[in-house]
Amino acid sequence: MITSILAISLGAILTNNFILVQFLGICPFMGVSKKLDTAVGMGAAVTFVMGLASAVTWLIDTVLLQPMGLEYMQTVAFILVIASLVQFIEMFLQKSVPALYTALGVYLPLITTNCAVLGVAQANITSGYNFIESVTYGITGGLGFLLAIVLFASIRERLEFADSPKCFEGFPLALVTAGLMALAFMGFSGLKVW
Amino acid sequence: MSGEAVKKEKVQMDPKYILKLSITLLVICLVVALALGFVNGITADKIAALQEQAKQESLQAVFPDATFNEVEIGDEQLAVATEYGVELMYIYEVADGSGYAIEVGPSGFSGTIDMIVGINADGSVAGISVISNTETAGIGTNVCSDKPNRNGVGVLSQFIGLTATADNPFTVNSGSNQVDAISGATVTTRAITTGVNAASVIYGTLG
Amino acid sequence: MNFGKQFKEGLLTNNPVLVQLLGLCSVLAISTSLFNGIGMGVCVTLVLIGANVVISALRKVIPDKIRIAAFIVIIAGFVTVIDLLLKAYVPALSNSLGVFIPLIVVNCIILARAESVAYKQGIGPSFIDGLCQGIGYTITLVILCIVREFLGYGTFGGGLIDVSNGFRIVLGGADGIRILPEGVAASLVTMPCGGFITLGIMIAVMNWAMKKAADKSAKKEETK
Repeated sequence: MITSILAISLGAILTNNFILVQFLGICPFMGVSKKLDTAVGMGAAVTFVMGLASAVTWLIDTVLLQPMGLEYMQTVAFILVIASLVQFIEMFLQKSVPALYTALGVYLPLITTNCAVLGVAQANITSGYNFIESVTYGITGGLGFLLAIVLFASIRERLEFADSPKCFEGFPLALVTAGLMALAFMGFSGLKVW
Repeated sequence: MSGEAVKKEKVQMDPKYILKLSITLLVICLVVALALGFVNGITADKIAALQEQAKQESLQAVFPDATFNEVEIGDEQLAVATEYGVELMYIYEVADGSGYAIEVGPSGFSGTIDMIVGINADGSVAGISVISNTETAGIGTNVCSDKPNRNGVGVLSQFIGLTATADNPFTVNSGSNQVDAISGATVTTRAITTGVNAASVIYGTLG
Repeated sequence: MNFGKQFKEGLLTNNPVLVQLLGLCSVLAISTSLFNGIGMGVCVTLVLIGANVVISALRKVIPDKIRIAAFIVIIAGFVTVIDLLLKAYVPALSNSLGVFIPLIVVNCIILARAESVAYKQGIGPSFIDGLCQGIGYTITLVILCIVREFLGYGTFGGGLIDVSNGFRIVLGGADGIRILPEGVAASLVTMPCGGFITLGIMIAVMNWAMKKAADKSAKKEETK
């Protein structure tokens, strides 16, 4: 049990990083990585939602969909759950933790359309993870996202001052940078501690 | 669901409006659910038939032109499967006794990889064929479609003729019984390897 | 209704991938063979058109407050239909695209078009918008696929064109036409890092071309 959890965590954070290896969650990765502090906020929000979404979607699938033979409704059910979950978190934070709400507020609605969240929900089911493994995969996947976006934002802050060809300014250069980061993360492939 | 989405407005809205919102969303959900149920009704049999056909083809790919008899799975085999963390779906014996085809489902990168491992009577691998997988398109799927690894050998083909035992299993990219992964798809390769190891040991218990 | 203008927007000036930078996940992940590219492009276009038309038809019925939830349910419905149909009739494509089919739900292009076009305009313009944006997405994706497949595998038409036994168009499983000899191609291009870099260069080329076109028309204006 412990080893499977450690293996899942290592995989989700490094060897199969959601962004740089699996291509999930690229939109927010490119969109909100211009500044380091906003990147940290987004990463934290995504981690939170991914963990929670993993738990809720796993329960819904196991308790409702599977027994009733409604597996084909997974996509619809999951995305609805994620959308309402995000909405709920937003309301909860606004009332109870206003400080955190102001920090994360603008990113929360964006998370609904983050493929990493729906992706992790789907992956939990198709991998046949149990509840604890699912939540672990969700949270560590989010941490992997956080790691990638923070590293990326730090590089992009410096890129602002780089002297680059005019047509490469902005997104093209950012994409090439992300490519080089993905190349670096390929170095983790084959890493197996447990 | 409709209740949750609406609660946000509770503070400033009268119950009638809330009811209207809920009902609208409920109706939309119902219509979508009905439509999906309808499409599923049409496609479900077809999908099941395709999977059966794919399985037959996979069996033929491992042992060409053979006929197969299904063998009942015993507790001993299930115990091995659990030990290796794979699902054990079916065991087929080749009718002329030249080996077994064992269908196992190791956990891949995203989801279970449904694969058939053919084991010759001497315990060596006769062939591997993947029935279905949900690996990452263009990365993990390369493994399942037997694309060459860095040595230029198909990832699945490299197992053929080799033998794994419980004490000397196949290991990815290292060890005495080494197989090589496609770079970027180590997890998928490892999953396949686990499946082959499990099948080899299961074969040992079949006697 | 201005079909020409909308078409140009979808393809060039407001291209969903190259200019709006939406739906990058699937674009990067599956653009490794022509088969994947065309398949994904057609799926996304169908969902775009379907969702646009339905949302536009229902725009007076859906209350403003719950519109996003309603959009998502409708989109998810269409995606699931496509997913089931593919599994039943084109299993090779379903296997090859894997999880990225259900993930069309969160493809931002579709939600963005629902919000900015379908919810505001009639059925006709929404349909055309869906079609044009879909074509823009497909063409971009196909170009990226062709480039990456050529550089990464050294082939053209992977999965789609079978030349091993005469020229045939098949659905999945074919190797395509080999252009570069085996072992010459840089398989790095087909990996994640290659995807990012190729798309980056493609957007840069697009920027360069658009700037050049803009300069030209500006000059024309001056001489007038």
